[in-house]
Amino acid sequence: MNIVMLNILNAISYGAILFLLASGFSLIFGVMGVLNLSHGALYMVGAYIGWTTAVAHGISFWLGALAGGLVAGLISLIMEAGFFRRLYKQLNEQMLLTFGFVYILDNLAKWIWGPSYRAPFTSPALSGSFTILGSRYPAVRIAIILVGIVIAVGLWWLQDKTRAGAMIRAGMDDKETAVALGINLPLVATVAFFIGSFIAGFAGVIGAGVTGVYPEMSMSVMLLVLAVIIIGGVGSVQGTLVGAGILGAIDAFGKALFPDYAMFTVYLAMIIVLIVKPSGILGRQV
Amino acid sequence: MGREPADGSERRGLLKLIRLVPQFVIVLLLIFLVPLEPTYIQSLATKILIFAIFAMSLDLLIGYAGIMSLGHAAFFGAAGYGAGILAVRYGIDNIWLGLASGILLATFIAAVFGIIALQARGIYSILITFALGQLLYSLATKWRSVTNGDYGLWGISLPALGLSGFEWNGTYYYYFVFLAFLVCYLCLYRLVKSPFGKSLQGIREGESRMRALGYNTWLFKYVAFVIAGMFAGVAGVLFAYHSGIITPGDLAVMNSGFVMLMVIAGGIGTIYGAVIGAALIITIQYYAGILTADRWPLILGGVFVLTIMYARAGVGVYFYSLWKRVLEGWKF
Amino acid sequence: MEVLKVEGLSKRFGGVYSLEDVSFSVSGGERLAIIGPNGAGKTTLFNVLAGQLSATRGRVYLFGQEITNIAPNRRARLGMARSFQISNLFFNLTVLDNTLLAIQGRRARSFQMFRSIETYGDMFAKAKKLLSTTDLWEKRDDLVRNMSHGEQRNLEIVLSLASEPKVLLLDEPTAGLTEAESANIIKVVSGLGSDTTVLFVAHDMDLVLNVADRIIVLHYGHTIAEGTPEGIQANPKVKEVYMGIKELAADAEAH
Repeated sequence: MNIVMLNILNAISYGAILFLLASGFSLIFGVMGVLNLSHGALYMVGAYIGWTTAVAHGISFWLGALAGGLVAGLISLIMEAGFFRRLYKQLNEQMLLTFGFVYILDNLAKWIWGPSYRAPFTSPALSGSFTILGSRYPAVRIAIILVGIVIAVGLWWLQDKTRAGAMIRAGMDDKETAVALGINLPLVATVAFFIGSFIAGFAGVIGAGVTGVYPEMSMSVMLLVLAVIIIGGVGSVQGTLVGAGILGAIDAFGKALFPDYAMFTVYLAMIIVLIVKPSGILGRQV
Repeated sequence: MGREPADGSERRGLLKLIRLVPQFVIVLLLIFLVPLEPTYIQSLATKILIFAIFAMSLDLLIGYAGIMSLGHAAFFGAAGYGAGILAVRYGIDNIWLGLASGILLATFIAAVFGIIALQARGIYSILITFALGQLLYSLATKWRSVTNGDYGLWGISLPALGLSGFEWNGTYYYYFVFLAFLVCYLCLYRLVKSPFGKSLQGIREGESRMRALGYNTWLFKYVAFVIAGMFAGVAGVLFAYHSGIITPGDLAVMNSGFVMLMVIAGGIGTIYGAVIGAALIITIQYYAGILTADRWPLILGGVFVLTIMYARAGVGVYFYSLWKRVLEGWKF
Repeated sequence: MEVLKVEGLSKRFGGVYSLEDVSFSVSGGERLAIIGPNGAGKTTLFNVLAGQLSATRGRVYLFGQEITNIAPNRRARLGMARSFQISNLFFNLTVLDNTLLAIQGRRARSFQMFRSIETYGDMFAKAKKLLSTTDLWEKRDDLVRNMSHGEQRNLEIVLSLASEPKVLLLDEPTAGLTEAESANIIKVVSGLGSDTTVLFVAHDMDLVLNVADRIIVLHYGHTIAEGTPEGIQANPKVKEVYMGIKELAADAEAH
């Protein structure tokens, strides 16, 4: 296939990973108001768990992805019940707590899995490539796109078409009224936190085929999440899709056009959006 | 404290002096006791004072102006690189030029970042400071010809002071840093008590009211941001000379979090709190590092979490209020 | 001399017009009261005049200069000051600090970085004078968040007077005050010279009838009447609006 098509597919697959990550973060921020800076660390944890399951023990890749999501979700439950709940409504403090968790999770990961880089891994079924439009394209990236679509649709359906989604959106908009209407906001918050973190851990395994696994990933990944949020705006699935899409495109074409400086095109995009529309392309005024 | 100025009573003068006893004691200890200690203690004390300057600069931002910044280490690290590059790449052997170049670089970057970061509101502003910090980190890792990438810029030796026959050693550098610390402390102390400092606090407490009162709040925040960056730069240069090496990690968000822990542990919104917080956290880091060579970040993370959960009013503030109660007990 | 002029001012929130086509002017030294039932748009009007909200349509002129789109701090520098209906104070600072900030607001001095704010004797003297009018000088070292509601409301007024404004907007200045405190505020406001033009929003008829030279009545964002206190009291439209509300309330009680 021609170069443009290749890059477009790269853009979409990378964008899909970014979407998975950022949507979890956005969900958590929307409902709990917390900037979970350890979100990137949860992606990393998921990736390591997936590696242990799939590569070290040869168990099914998809089970590993599930395990990665569950462990990340479990960690989030501990964070929420043990810590966030006690700092009810103190958003700055909660954000700073997540900083502390990054230190802990990063170091634990280094302790358990060692400090070296793990190669990108994926399911054996996906390690080949498909022939698309006359050229070979890595199967794993196709899988990522498909998973991304499924989860995007699922989240959009949850957000717009279910009662649970309505409750979440109510909580985002006006906490007092939501509580007054009988919505169990603490429960909604916990569930949203779990879902968001699960997606992060799950994405860590799925995306490991592209990003690899290494102990310093937490903050690099976190930066990408923030870039998506800054560009697309926080609070809606659509916003995250737009942000992830744009970032995926910038990354793919950036890598193609100026390979050494691709990262800086991301920063440039962020700055431009900031100047033109400070709350993100589809963001609400916060 | 609202006392009318130009009150000449002797008792008032004495009162003021007595209140400052803890500070006097600490300063005396720092001047006379530390140089008698073994080298590693002097080195630790030097590092504490350096981070005290760094923490005070961040406290100006988050404690007084109410601007949350997750990328403050960018200015610290940039200054370190500025001084380091001058020494290693250009071989310039003059500490004053090193200081000047590092501080100027940090101030310039703060001037640029400030415009971008203060453009946004609420959470986006916080996210931007994070992103800008990481931007500089990326730059430091990629621009290998200048910064030596991930290995860090090593071999930074203390440049000449300019006095003939003078040779640096650990104790002399300690005094140098101590002097710098005193200057920074006094400057910031006066700053926060000045009309400008009070205006910052007003902006923190109620920006809309400040605007209604006639203040150009953006300008105040911007100036505060740049000044904070400048002082972080001072610390950064001193740090580069102290460690002999500056790495991309010194610019990274994790370092920003590290210094923020110091500010919180000591007590946000008080200049002395930042100093106490720095002393506390650096000491804990040092001894944790001795305890376990690889797991000390875990301990630090634990301290982080415990501080936020149980000590977020600040240890320094706690001691200060104890001291105030003692004074009241003695009817001072 | 026309100090403030409002032309065709409208403010829309989503689908609802909070203010629609409001026009009036205020002459130097005048005391103008804005009254109307709850939700009539009085505070919105103040927010648009002072700059906290932008107008959807229409223009505002201060001393002949158009200020419709300029920032609140620049309006303050032109001589406008306001008090807020919901106390907008610096809760974690002392009463004295609150007052000093209000006093130095319009001055370049606020950028001074080298002298302690406590050494400025002139600001101190001014703060003492201001705070004494409402018995707050003794409480100057107290944190605002520890004060009673009435004391906070008094401080709210003090802050709006601190810059010696030429045009003062007072939003419900006596709300939440005791009889004695209200009487004091009325005295303070009455004592402002003709150099100060005062607009105030109020439900307190004592304040309105004692202080106002002229009254404008708002209802659902429109001006429905304008005139002297006597004229307004006799105005049938005004009576209808207020009576209508009384009847609705009576109706509700009966059922």
